Amino acid sequence: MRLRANQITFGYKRGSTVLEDVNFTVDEGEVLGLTAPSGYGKSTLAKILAGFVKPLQGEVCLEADGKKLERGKGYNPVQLIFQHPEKAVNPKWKMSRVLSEVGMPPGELIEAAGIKKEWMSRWPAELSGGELQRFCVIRALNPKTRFLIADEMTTMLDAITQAQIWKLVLSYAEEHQMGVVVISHDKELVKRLCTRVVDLAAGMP
Amino acid sequence: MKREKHFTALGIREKTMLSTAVFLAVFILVMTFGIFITEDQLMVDLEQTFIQPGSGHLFGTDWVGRDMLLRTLKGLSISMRIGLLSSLISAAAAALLGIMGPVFGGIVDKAVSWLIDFVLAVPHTIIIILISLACGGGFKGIVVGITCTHWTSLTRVIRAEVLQILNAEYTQLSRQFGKSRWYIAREHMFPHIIPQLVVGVVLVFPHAILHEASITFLGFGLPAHEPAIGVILSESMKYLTSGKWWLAFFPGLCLVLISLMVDRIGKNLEKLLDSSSAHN
Repeated sequence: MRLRANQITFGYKRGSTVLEDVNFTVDEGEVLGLTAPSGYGKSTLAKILAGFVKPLQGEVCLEADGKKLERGKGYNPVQLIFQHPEKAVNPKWKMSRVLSEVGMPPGELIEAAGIKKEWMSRWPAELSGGELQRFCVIRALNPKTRFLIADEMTTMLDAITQAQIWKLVLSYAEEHQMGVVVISHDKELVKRLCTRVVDLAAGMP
Repeated sequence: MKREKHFTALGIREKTMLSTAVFLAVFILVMTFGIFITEDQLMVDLEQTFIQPGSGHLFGTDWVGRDMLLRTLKGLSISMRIGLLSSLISAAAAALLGIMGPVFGGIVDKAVSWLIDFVLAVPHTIIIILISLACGGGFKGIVVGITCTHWTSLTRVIRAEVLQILNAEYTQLSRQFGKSRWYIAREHMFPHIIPQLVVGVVLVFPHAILHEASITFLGFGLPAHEPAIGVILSESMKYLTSGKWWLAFFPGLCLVLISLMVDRIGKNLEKLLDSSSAHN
């Protein structure tokens, strides 16, 4: 399976575009890096890839054996992880409910993410950003997820948590042949994680 | 010594909870007590007309010798039932329309907003009188009239809250997880609007009973044989000029006190539910 961004153009204001004619593909099991400085539309592209925002032109499609796959209404096989985990969980839900919104992940995965049992019965406000992000990550590591878009996934976290989370995601991606798009302004991180890097700023003025 | 100090030094939260509990108890007591006052206790006794307030009759008696305390309690109980019923129905309508508008969006949202503006643009009292008349007056007419005019402000509050939640990342994620609009409304939004709903019900209540009293006072509400506060007040107008002040004073005072009390319950609940410690 392959994720293709095909001639994507997007702008927030009439007459000015943030993204212009962006093209790339991600194969399953591949870890692709997307870098650009601030304001080049990295997060916008992440939202477009994961179906949150419709591009003005072009399309995001999934291909298998060179043929385009029709996408239904159900679970989106392209899942996005946000930079701020505290905004990505409902503050009125306890953590066990947050985690099981699309079915409870297997025990080994929860353990590998370093989630403690007692966190399950807590409210989101009672956990730190790093702890919450672990929940958000393994919530998205569903068997139905074929591509993971990590939009500055660990930017807000300390180095140790950052390393733990990436280790988990990369080993999961390899094991399940899941494609990962790493979006970050941190070039060193991207170089370290990815097999291929696309620079959004390269083709732009 | 230490123990005593501990007992009297209640925190703000405890004080708020205590006063809310006391007010609620008074509310329920008055409402249920009024239900058990029968016609027999309000019999005409022409030997005891116009007795001044005193030890025998705390609120005095009226022109046919009925005890004003019992009539006031009965009247308050009727008013409170009207208020409770119409504020509950208003809140239900507000929850339904306030969620439906933003969730379905487009023409549904426009229709809801238009309806709110439409109802708000016409003076309450006039609409209530018209609706009450159209429904044949009485208990039903008043409840329908007040409900039809009092759902608007709460609907606005809830609509704004829902709009905000709809743009939150966790509801957008929920869409990508393949969850339906119905699921998102029920599971993600409803827990957020419960506090608003509870406070809304309580804050609409004083409006409802004051409107009930004024409409009845004007003669468009409850029939004359029901001892509603509005009926009592309008009857007592005839005797005010001859110095029978207690006929209007005590029932009016009780009405104001009950309204203030419920308003206070609402504000207390708002404080208790809104604080960051409201999670448990």
